[in-house]
Formats: sequence, structure tokens, C-alpha cells
Amino acid sequence: MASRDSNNPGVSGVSTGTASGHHQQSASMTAAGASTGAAGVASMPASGSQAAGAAGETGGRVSNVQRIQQKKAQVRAWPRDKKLEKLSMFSSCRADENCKCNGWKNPSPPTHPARPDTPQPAAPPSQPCQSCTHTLGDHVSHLDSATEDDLDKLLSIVVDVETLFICVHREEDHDTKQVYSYLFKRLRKCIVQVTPPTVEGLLGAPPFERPSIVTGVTNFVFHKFNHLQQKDFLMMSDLAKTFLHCLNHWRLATPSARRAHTTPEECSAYKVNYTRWLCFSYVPQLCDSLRHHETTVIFGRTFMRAIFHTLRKQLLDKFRSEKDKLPAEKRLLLLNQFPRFLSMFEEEVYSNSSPIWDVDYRPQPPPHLHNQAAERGSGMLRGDFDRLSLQAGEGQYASGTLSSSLKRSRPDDRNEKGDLDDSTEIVSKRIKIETEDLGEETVAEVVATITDPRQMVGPEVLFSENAARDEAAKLEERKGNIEFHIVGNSLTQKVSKQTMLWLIGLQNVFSHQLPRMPKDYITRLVFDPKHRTLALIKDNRPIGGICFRMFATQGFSEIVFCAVTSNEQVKGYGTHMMNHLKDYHVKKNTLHFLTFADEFAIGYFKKQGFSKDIQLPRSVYQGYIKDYEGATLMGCELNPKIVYTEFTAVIRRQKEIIKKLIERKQSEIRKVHPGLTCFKEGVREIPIESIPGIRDAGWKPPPGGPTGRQSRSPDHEHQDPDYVQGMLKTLLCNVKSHAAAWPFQVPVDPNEVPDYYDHIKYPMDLKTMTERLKARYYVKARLFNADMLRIFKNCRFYNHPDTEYYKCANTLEKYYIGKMKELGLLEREK
Amino acid sequence: MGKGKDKNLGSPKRSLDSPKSPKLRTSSPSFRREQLLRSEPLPEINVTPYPLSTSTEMAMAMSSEAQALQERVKVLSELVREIQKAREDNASHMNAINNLSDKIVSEEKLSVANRTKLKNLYENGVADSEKEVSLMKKALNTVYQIRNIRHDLRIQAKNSGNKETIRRGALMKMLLNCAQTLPLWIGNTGEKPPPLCGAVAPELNYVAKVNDMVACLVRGSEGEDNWILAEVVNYNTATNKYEVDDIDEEQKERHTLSRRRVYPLPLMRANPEVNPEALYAKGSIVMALYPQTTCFYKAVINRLPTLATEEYEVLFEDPSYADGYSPPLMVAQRYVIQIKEVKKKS
Repeated sequence: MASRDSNNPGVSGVSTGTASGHHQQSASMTAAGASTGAAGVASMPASGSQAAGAAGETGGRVSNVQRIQQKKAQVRAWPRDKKLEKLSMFSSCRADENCKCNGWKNPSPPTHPARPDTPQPAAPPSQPCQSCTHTLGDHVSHLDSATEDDLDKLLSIVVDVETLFICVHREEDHDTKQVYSYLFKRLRKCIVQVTPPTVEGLLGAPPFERPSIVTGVTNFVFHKFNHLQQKDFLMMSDLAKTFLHCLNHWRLATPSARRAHTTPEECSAYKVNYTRWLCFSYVPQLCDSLRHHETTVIFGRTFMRAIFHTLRKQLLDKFRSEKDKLPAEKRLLLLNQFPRFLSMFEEEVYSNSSPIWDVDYRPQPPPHLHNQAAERGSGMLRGDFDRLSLQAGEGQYASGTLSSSLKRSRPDDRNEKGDLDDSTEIVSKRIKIETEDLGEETVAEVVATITDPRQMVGPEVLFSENAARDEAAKLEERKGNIEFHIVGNSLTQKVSKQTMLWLIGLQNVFSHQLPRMPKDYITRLVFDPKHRTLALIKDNRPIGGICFRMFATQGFSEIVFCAVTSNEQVKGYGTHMMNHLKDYHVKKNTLHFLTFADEFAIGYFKKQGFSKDIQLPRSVYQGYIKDYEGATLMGCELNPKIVYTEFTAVIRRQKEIIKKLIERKQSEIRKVHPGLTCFKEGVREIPIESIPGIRDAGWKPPPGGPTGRQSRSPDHEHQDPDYVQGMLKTLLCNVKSHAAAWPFQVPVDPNEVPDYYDHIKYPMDLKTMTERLKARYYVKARLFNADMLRIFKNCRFYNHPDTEYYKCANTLEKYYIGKMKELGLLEREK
Repeated sequence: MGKGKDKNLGSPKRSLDSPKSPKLRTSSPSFRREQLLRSEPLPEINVTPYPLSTSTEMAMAMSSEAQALQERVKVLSELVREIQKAREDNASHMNAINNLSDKIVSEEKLSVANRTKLKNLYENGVADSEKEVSLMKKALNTVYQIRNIRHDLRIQAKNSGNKETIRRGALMKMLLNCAQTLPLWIGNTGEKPPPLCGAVAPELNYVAKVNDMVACLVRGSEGEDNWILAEVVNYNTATNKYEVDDIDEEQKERHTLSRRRVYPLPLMRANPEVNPEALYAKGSIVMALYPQTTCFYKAVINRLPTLATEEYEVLFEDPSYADGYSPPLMVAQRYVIQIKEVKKKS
């Protein structure tokens, strides 16, 4: 098929026919708004393999994408020498260092235009190059050891380069041409350097805005239509999918086409997005060696605002013009409902207060989704939407499209459902729990109870149980007693007097609290323009701060100093400061912290979620971060989904809700069953569902079989080791912090107790246990138990019953056994 | 009482009779004295409840103490409302007195009718004040009851042996709370504040009671002496020695100390408005608990509290600052004690 274009002039060695089938059939949809539509080459293959759009169904004609894919397949089938010949045309000569030749040129090009389907015999490696006279082999010497796979990858880029070449050649719009030519050069460079193609530079990396259009549209559907009946809701979600699909395959108007009716600022902003769209979304659809991103996933509201009016007009025009081709029910939907859908969406797009663009917007699923929980269909629909928001990134859902009826999208969903359940999206999980089992009203009631102060009089409210570490600090911040600011020095801009005063104050706080740091060193870093400090301000004076340096390119920040002035310590400020810093970094999309912690700081950083296991590869931070002698490198990875300053509050609230729900359930059932006697009679295990009353209490067998992997079987040999590990860790911490644990914290010192080891052959202590736990020695709870009991046994063996030690052993043992029983870790005793 | 007031009223009247100059009249200090004013509004205090360890909380929820506490809290919240109401009522009576006084002054004579009226108003005012005082006392007592129950619970938990250490933040809150809810000494007119009220020294042979908080001088691991905050566990009358527990549970240390190394903390707050003599003077050298720690250090009193709810402002001796003193820091009356030099054995 490339033969149609075989009369393309071959330039710089690109002599073989390129996949430039610039067909017109798909222009219906995509080229519509493009000023360059007539040029055709770049018109988007909206139909074809990617989409079952109306246009694509018009017959056996193949799209650009298919054409390019076929071309690539053909090239892959070539013999190795042919492949090398092809690659040599794009590879710089390596014969000697001075040779500037950047591609082998055949001195005797075939007389008739090359046809890929009738391959020419390959030129021999000894064939000299027309421009530099070095041999073909000299151009590809670096590929000698390359595997077929590597060659195929490079050839795929070659094909894309050729495609882009045609695009550059045909493109008339200046801006677009520039981008094509940039990409062309970029890919050529990749072949020369044998690197995987990426688009780098000032364009940034996708996603460019959050939340994405996909999320926005999903939220929009939930926000506006969740009161609708299931049928109508499905219709709206179908429209939403149609809309997203169209947008993904829509051809953007060039900046010059818009210049006439926009302000210069808007225009330059648009140009940036247009370029991004070309590089990340549009061109990669043709040239698959570039990573493709869906338009709707990488762009957000700003982009939507810029294009919405044009988009709507063109979409509606298109549907109207194609109405005869559409199936009847589809036609009705698109012509009657779509305009209304778009108008409603328009409001949300241009409204500044619309909730759907809120990053934290949590959709409320429509009532029918939980009222009919038993019905499988509803679950699937939610799955559908989860997928829309969660997995659209991979572009899978694009398979259900314009003409996709519900019938078609459903089987897809069923396939996807497995993945979905595994995806640990807390939010959707939570919604599931609340709604499927309980219904919204119940939840709302419970939430009202726990927030209503009248329901909670008494000790709980007055002397709240162990409040979160940062609760007091948050309260002070709300009252305005304390403030948090990010401050820093600058050499190029004027720094306000206020900032300077705060920086001096911070320098004082740091040098007082960190007496081992030289004062001039602290001064140098605090006033260094590359360092920033999160300042904790009280009465307009800094009383604490975290000095950090962000390495945006490396994706991490180094925490340099962190201190709170001594008379303001132990008030939760440190935790709250760190949480603010985390939120700040999430906003800046820098998701790692690194710090060298001295022995006094390790505890603090541990409490803030830092760990000695660094998640970043060493190469990312080495040479960037300051190294301190005798300090421990600690790191912390941030989760962009968490608002850290609210984290404890949210968790606590969730806990409250669950507690109330359990209480409710208990009061509803209110039935006491006689205890089980079968265990006394020697039965070792019974199925959970046979416990009287457990079903009435709402217990359901976990999915995946009658016994289910989640069921906590009494036989601990089968327990998930990570789960056991976690419980043992908590338990060990509890034991270590018990008041009677002091004699057992570390091994007995033989200098202090010279004869101890004569009597005790198998010593054990809590420190050793901690190390063993860390080394994952306790794969089974009973190993842990054995060590723990040995501590007590040893103690009672060596010490007299009157001693404090002996008593401590008894006290701690009692406490420990109680805890073990509570956790269900203790195997049944005789 | 009513009579005395009445008499007092007469005196400005007399002085007003003779001079006719209105100027003199308005600036007359004796006239001023009749303006009844009160310090508006009640000073705001922020009492921080301190959390107990989880197991204590749980034990508490199950015990009858929880009920008792809840009852007291309800009583307290009622009382607070009543006090506010009483204050408002009182205000209207005071206004009436002031208005009538103004009228009498402007009329420049005290008619019999006005005199009776004024007398009645004063009697009402006195009754109001007495009611307010009794409500206040009741409220304070309820606070002390709550304080005691909480204290007992904490001690119980401590002694039960099955305690989990409370977080430092909680410990600090507890210390702050103890200071804020320290009973306020309210004496009758002319009564002298008793020992251990504010700065008043304890009697010479005073022995701190079990569970009382004390400051004590203990020798640290590196041989240095430190004044720490501790609780009395036992006093051995035979040896004259105290057994005390470090308040900081992380230290887990019990010390046996001679009497002279133990100094009791004030058991009552002094009201600076009524008993300024029971406060340390500005510039005096004291021992004060460094904020957010459990250690006492040498400090200079920089400013006195002016209300019962306020704290001392002190400057700690601190060589890490250029001038040898920390910036001004606030310390509650409860944690400011006399400096006590203990002779060092070299």
C-alpha cells in the first residue's frame, strides 16, 4: 500500500516508501477543526484499530496507523543485513573520529523506487558510503552485538522518523511543522545514540494538570446525575465515555488558527498545550516508538476551557452530519441528550467553584448502585467508573467508544473486574464497604452521631483519649496562634524585611537547638538561596523550622536542619511542621525526603514515617546530598493521595465510624449464644460459617472460595508472614515499652553479672528479639513466643523469687500472654 | 456591712455641701470612690485536659469513677452558666447604684428617699456578690474534685504495675493541667496565706505527703546533681528519708533521698490581687521548672503574675545565650520554688 506513495522524493537516504498514506476518510472526525486538514498527512486516524468509530466502519480501508504497523512488521521480517543497511542510513560513521558523516548513503541507489514488499538485496557491508567513502559496516559497527530485538526497536524508530519526515514535508502550519521537525530530529538522535525515544525539554512531563479531564468528567457524572435512575445514569455515563473518546481522537486547532480571536497570553498558553498534545498524544498514535498518552488523562481543566467551545461545536456538527450512519438508538442518544450533556458540562468547566475539579472530590455513587447491591450489574457499573478514573491512563477503556453500546462494554468490564479488585484504591474500597452493606443513610447517621457534640459528653470528649500527636498543634494553627511559612533567601530578588528577620530567627533557633553544628555552617545554609525553610511562627517569631533543599530534577528534598525551640517542644509542633512540609512537597510533586539523622533525631524521623530503608536508588542522590559523619541516612516516600496534615484526623474518623457501625450492628442483633464447646471436646478447627449467629451478624464468606484466604484460620502455619510480622512488631514494641520490661531490654552484661552465663545457656533479651524480628527470623508466631518465654524462664531460673527481677518477669509475662491471646497469636494451650 | 457603706456615702456628700465650684466637685476623689467598676470580662484560661494511658482510659470507662467524673463535669458546666448569669444580674444592680449616685451628686443633696433606695441597692449588691462568690467557690471545688479523681486514677494506674508509658506530650499536658487546676487559696479578709501557698515556705518540720509532687535533687549518671520533678512514694520517719519516683516515666527510677534534698511544691495558688505578699518579688532568684521539661533550674523572676490565672515570667540561667540568660519564659506558680542550696560534699 505504500506503493501509492512511492513517488515520494527520497531525501537523505530515506528512499524507501514511507507510510504516508494520508487518507481522507478519517478526517471526518479529527481533521475537522484543523486548519491543516487539507494537507491530510497528519490527519488523525481516529478510526481503525484504535477505535470502532463510525468512520472506521465504513469499509475495508485501512488507517494510517495500520499502514505504519504493517510497514513495521515488514521491516521486522527483513534479514539482518537488510536491517543493518537500513539502520546505517541513520547512523553516524564510526570509521574515525573526524568523520562527520551522519548516515550511510548508497552510491548506487536502485533505479526504480524501492518497494518494501519486494525487498532489494542488501548492500554488502563493504559498500562505501557515497558521502564519506567509509563502508556501510563502519556505520553500523556499534550494532554488531545488538540483538534482533534491539534492531527491531531501532527500525521501528526509523519508520517513525520516515513518517515524521513526510509530516514535516507536508505540514503547512508553521507551529505544527516546527514540532514535527523537532520530533524528527529527536528521533534521529535516538537512533544515532541508540537510546529509547523520549520527549524532553521545557514541555514538562505528563500529567500536566490535576485532576485530569477523565477524573473531571467522571466526577461530573457522579456529581450531576447520581440522583438518576439506573437506566438514565447509565446513559449519562455512556455519553461521558463518548465524549472522552471523541476528545482523545480530536484534532486540535493550530495556535495560528486561534490567534485571531484570543489574547496573546491565552495564545501562548495554548501553544504550549498544543505542543504537548502533539508530542505526547497525537504524534505517538502514529509513531508508536514515542510513548502515547491519552489527551484526557494528561490534561485538565485549563486545557478543557481553552478548547471546549470549538470542541462542542465540531462534535455536534459531526453527529448531525453523520446521523444517518448511526444506529437508531445511538442517534437518539447523541442528538437529543448530548447537547444537554455538553451544556451542563460547560457550566462546570467554566465555573470557578465547581467541585468536580477538586483534587479531593470523592464521588458519591448514585443510590441505585448500593440499593441494588445484590444485583451484579450495578457492581459492574461502578467497576466501569472506577476503571474510568483509575485505569484510563493505560487507555484501555478506549475500546468502548462512540458506537459502543452497553452490550459491548459489559463483557469488557467483566474481564477487568479482577484487576479492579486488586487495585488497592482505598477510596473506592471504602465506598464499597459503606454502601454495599449499609446504605448511605446509615452512614450519614453515624457520621452525624460522631460529629454531634451532645452525643459525646463525658470523659471521652473532655479528656480525649490519646490524642493524635499533632492535634494540639493543629488546634493552635486554626486559632491563629501559630503559622507556617516557607521562606528563603534570594540573591536576585528583593527579600522582604520580614523574611530576613525570620531567617535570622531561624538561624538562632537552629544554632541553639543543634549545638553540635557550627554556627557559621548553619548561617551559610539557612541563607543559601537554594535552601528553603519551613518556618513555624508564633507571635511573629520563629520558634521552629525545617530547612531543606529541593532537588526537583532528582525528585527528592534533603532535610538539612529540623528543630523546635526547647521551651516549645513536646507540643506536637514537630509533627505538624513535617506534615506541612510533606503537603508542600506533594504539591511540588517531589515525593521523597532524605536526611542524615543524628542519634537524637532518629526517633523523631521514625515517628514521621522515615525509615533507614531508602527507596531511592543511590545514583539519584549521591553527590547531591550533604554527607554527615556518624549520622544515619533516612528517607521517606510520600503518597500524593494523602493530605498529611489531615491524615491522623481522617484515620481517626474512619475508626470512629467503624466503631459506631459495629455498635449499631451489635445493638441490632442483641442475642447471646452459648459458647462453643466443641474445642473442649478436642475438635481442632471448625468452619467459620458454622459458628452460631455469625451469619446473622453480617459475616459473609470472603470471595474466592468457602474458606477464603482472608479468613483467619486458627492454624497459624498458614498465616501470611507479612501479617504476622506486622503484629509481632507491634507486640514487641508494646512489651518493650512496658514498665516491667527494663530488666530485659538488653543482654545481661557479663562484667556486671560474672556468673550469669554459667547458669544461663540460652540467653535471650528484647534487643536480640528486635534484631531477629528485623532479620525476619520469626516466620511463625511460635518462634517468637519461644524466645519471649525463654526470657522469663531464664530470669526466674537465675533470680530469687523475692527479687524485683523475678517480679518483673511475672508481670511482663502476664501482660505478654494477655496480648498474645488478644491478637489470636497464641496457639491453644492444653 | 450595709451600715458601713451608708456611712461612707455620707462623707462625699458632706464635702460636696460646702464648695460650690462644680469643677471641684467632678474632680473630687471621694466622689470617684463611689463608682463601682469590675474588671471586665473574666480572664480567659485555656485548661488543657491531659490524656491518660490507653489502659487507664479503658479501666476508667468501666469503673464507677467514670460516672462520678461525668457527673462532676455536668455540675461544672451548670455552675459556669450560673456564674455568668449571676454576673449579668449583678451588673444591672451595680449600674443602678452608679446611676443613683450620679443623680445624688448632681442634685447635690441626699434625700431620705434616695438614701433608703441606695441602701437597698447596696444590700442587693452585697447579696449578689455573696452569691457569686459562693458559686465560684462551688465551681472551684468541683474542679478540685475532678482533679483529685483524675489524680487518683493516674496513681492507681501507676501502682497497678500494668501501665504503659504515656507519651511525653501527654506528660507535659498533665503537668500544665496540674498547675492550672492547683487550688486557689481564698482566705478571709486579713487572713495570712498559709505555708505552701504560692511563695510561702513550708513549716520547718513539714513532710510531703505520699503522691505529692516535689522537687528533688538527684545525682545523675555522670555524677552531676539535678533538681527533678518527682512524686513521693514513701517517707521513712525512722531514717528521715523520702522515696520518690521520677515523674518522667521513661527514666523509671526510684530514688531514696534525705529530707534536705526534697522540696515540696506549693499546694495552693496565691491570688496576686489579694495576696501579693505570697509571691516571689521581682528580681529574686528561684528554682523554676524549665518549660516542657521535668527539671528545675535557677532563674530570676522577671515579672509577677497579676491574676490568679497568670504565670511568672522568668529568665533562666543559661550559658548558651550570650548574656547568660534565656529569653523570658512563663512558669506557673506551682513550679516556682525557693532556691535551696545543698552543701556539696566535695
